[in-house]
Amino acid sequence: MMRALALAALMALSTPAPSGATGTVEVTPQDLLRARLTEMVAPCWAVEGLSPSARATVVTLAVEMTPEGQPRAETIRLLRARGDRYPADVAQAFAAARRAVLRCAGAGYDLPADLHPHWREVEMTFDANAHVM
Amino acid sequence: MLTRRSLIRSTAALTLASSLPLVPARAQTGPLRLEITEGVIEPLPFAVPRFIARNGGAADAAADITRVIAADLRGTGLFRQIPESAHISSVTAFDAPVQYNDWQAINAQALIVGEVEESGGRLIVRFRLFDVFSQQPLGEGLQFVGPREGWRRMAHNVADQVYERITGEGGYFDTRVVFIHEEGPKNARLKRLAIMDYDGANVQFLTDSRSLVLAPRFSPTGDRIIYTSYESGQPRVYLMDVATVTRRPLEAISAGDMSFSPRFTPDGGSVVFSMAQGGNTDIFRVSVGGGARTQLTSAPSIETAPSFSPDGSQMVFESDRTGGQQIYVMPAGGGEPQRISRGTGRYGTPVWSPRGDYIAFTKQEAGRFHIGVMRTNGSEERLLTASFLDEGPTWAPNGRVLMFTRETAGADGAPAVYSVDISGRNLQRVATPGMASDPSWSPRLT
Amino acid sequence: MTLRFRASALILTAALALSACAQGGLRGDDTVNLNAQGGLGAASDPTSVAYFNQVVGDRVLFAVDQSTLDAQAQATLDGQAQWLLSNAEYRVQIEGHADEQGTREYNIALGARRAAAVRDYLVSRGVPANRLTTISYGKERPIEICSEESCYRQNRRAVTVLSFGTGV
Repeated sequence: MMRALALAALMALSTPAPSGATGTVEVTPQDLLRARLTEMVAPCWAVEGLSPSARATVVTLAVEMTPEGQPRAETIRLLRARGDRYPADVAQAFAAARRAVLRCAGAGYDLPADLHPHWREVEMTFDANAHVM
Repeated sequence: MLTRRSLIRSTAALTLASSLPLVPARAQTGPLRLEITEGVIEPLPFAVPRFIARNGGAADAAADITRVIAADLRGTGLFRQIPESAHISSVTAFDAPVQYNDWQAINAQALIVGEVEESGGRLIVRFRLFDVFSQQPLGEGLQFVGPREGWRRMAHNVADQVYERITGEGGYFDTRVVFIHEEGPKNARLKRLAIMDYDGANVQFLTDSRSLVLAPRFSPTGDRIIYTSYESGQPRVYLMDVATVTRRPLEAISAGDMSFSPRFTPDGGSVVFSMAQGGNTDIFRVSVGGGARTQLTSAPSIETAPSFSPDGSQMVFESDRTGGQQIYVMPAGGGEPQRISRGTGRYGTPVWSPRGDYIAFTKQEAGRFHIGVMRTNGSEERLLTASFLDEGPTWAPNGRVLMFTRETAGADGAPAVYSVDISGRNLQRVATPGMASDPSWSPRLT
Repeated sequence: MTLRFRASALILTAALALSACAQGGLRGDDTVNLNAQGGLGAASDPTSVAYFNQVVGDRVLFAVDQSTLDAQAQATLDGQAQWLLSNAEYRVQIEGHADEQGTREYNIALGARRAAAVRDYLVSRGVPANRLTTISYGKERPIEICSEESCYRQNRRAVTVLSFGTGV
């Protein structure tokens, strides 16, 4: 998974975007930050620990990050949930996502400080529906 | 599984990125939006160094308690124990600073540290849980005090706390299971009511083998058991007090009537059960304290295996009104039942999850039996097991794990109790002293 | 309620049979199961329990999940009714059973249905209802123990069990 993502990031650098009519390589720092942060958070997202119904619930959370790469726990909030017929599932899915963000932070996510304005606010969507169990 | 260390290698791409004069970072500083679709499915690695014995009298208990905590966590399938032989740090004092780097080096994500003290025949168990990679405690340290012989429960209490803090869901280790112990050949089987810890320890027999007994269920508070016994000569529902092991018939019923398949209502104040009268079986409800019996179904078909939703508003049961067994839901106070089982085959023994989100059932199709779960409207049916004969699921109090009876085929066929989690993984045989069937899981005792 | 025993020898054998019985053999009431073991008189004696069990036939079989009485079952029950009418001192308990291919609760209900079908048939043939009781053992008491249809069909049964004692 990790290698695939790193490769995808590099590919994005050298491959024209499909809609790039001008021929410009439209790869933003956001694309790379996205790939990087995804790689770092995913290993702490314990899909295994979710019930089937919670696993089917897609949650999006918002979090603010310090310049040192630390998620500010008190800022983590649920933005929306899909498949949320059962509040218990949403709560469980959100809790797992929240734990993932906090647990993998360690001493801070390793993100370039000069780009902090681009990752100060993050919205992460956790979707396990395509997960191979 | 990805480790944090392996991630360092992928920083090359990012370094490259921030040095490239790409499209200038736009002035907007809106949120960075990303989607995560792959998580970890490997069990979470934990370390639990042997709890420190504060005094000589606590040495055995410290070792035993550590062993049971580890077994509880491993048994969930969600956790993997890092063996003590791999540990770099040793914990010499309960309050000593945690050497996080040493635990990170062996990839322990959770660290459980504890100590046990013996004082006047009582044990004091303290523990702390650490998130190794966050380098901080996960929750407060806690202390349990109890009689020496209660050491297993204290270990289960610690494991429940660890499970809760990591998964965010209630634990199910400090629980008991009432079941039927079986002896003898298949055509002369003897059955006894028995109770044990969820992990098979502390088995106690509640009846002798003189009378056939079937399908016990716990009360919502775990202090009473309702079951079917033939001791009067007919199948009748009995109520037993667990602490005193005293029993009484649930109610007086007419000669010739048979009552069976009992289950408590969620408030514990009533029992729903089936009664066969003149060959026809319907579902009734009666207060535990006595009083008039209420008939909940009235049909010429077989209505049995009732189970209430946790809020008490609905009842699920099985009926063969359309030919084969199918599952129906109806309002608790009466009303038109709606069929919710839709697949091929026959569906029976529905049990509402304590979380309210699923109904577990037994499915029989093409000569095979399955334990499955479905939504309470019948959607999202999933079969968790398959064998010659699986039946009678019962929920762990957190609604994540099921126990059930699995019986092997043939003249030497024997029943045993198994557990499986509701994703269909972690199928395990539960340790019982012999043949066992009809498990019913208690609520959390603490 | 009175017990009327025919012969002291029979009392003894019945008691022995009881001690050898598994759960369910010993009832809570004051009747005695006479079908369980031997010593029930000679099958050549038309008034003996052995005759009832072996010649008349003490059981009928059912199709999967069914409680309907086929022609063969009806013929057996006609014989039972006739015998019971001419041997009025016997009480009867009809045991309904199921094969192991079913869930426990459903099989109890199914056994009750089968036992009731037999009782209703015997009543329709003139046997007084107050001589008849029913019980269901579901799948708890198989007589054949293989896990094949040859055994299952023997287990899907209703057995008419005679006991001494009249009136209820």
